[in-house]
Amino acid sequence: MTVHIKCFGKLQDLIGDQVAEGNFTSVNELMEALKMKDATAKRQVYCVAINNQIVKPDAPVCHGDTVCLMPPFAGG
Amino acid sequence: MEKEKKKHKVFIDGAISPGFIADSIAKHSGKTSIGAHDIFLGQVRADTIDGKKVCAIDYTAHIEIAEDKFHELREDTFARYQLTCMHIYHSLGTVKSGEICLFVFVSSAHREEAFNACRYLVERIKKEVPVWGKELLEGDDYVWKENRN
Repeated sequence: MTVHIKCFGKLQDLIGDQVAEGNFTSVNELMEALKMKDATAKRQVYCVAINNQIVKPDAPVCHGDTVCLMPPFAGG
Repeated sequence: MEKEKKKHKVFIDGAISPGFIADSIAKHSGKTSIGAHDIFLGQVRADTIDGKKVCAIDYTAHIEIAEDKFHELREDTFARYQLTCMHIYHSLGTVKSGEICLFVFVSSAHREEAFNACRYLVERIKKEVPVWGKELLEGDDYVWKENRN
């Protein structure tokens, strides 16, 4: 399975946009499989969206999905 | 079937100008049921971080989710408070220190609703909308903005 990872905020530096390939079936499994530039990066993930919908960590992931990883929001 | 409410444009490229804010206020002079406006302006602050001043903030967002969230916040606020009018604008891209990056403008017949709705809206925007800011420091360095609370 192939999914596209898109990172926002500081996660662009810590994880980076990438294509992930593997047998993961959920967001949790995908997070375990990700190549990260920093060992603490996973802890910075505050929110995950799949195809523009915010999802829970146990949400299923499908081939071709775009998974967005978002750190805590900091607008205003 | 209920007609889907139109989403309002929220994001503005770059700083929100004082002229834009003044024009927004002027446009409401014809709405004579309004007795009170409350306005929040978020301005980029020249903090000092590790001895370097913040020169600007470069704002990014998950635009699709942010626009949906702004719409939801708008609907929630109208449902909670008796308001005549509400406008929300947030910058994307680079905003220099001293410039405005967030403009929240609510209007009502009486001041209590305007005061309460404006604060409610600003707090929820800062907490719930997927926007991030890269604080650009003197000397080409940067740090990622973290909101308090």
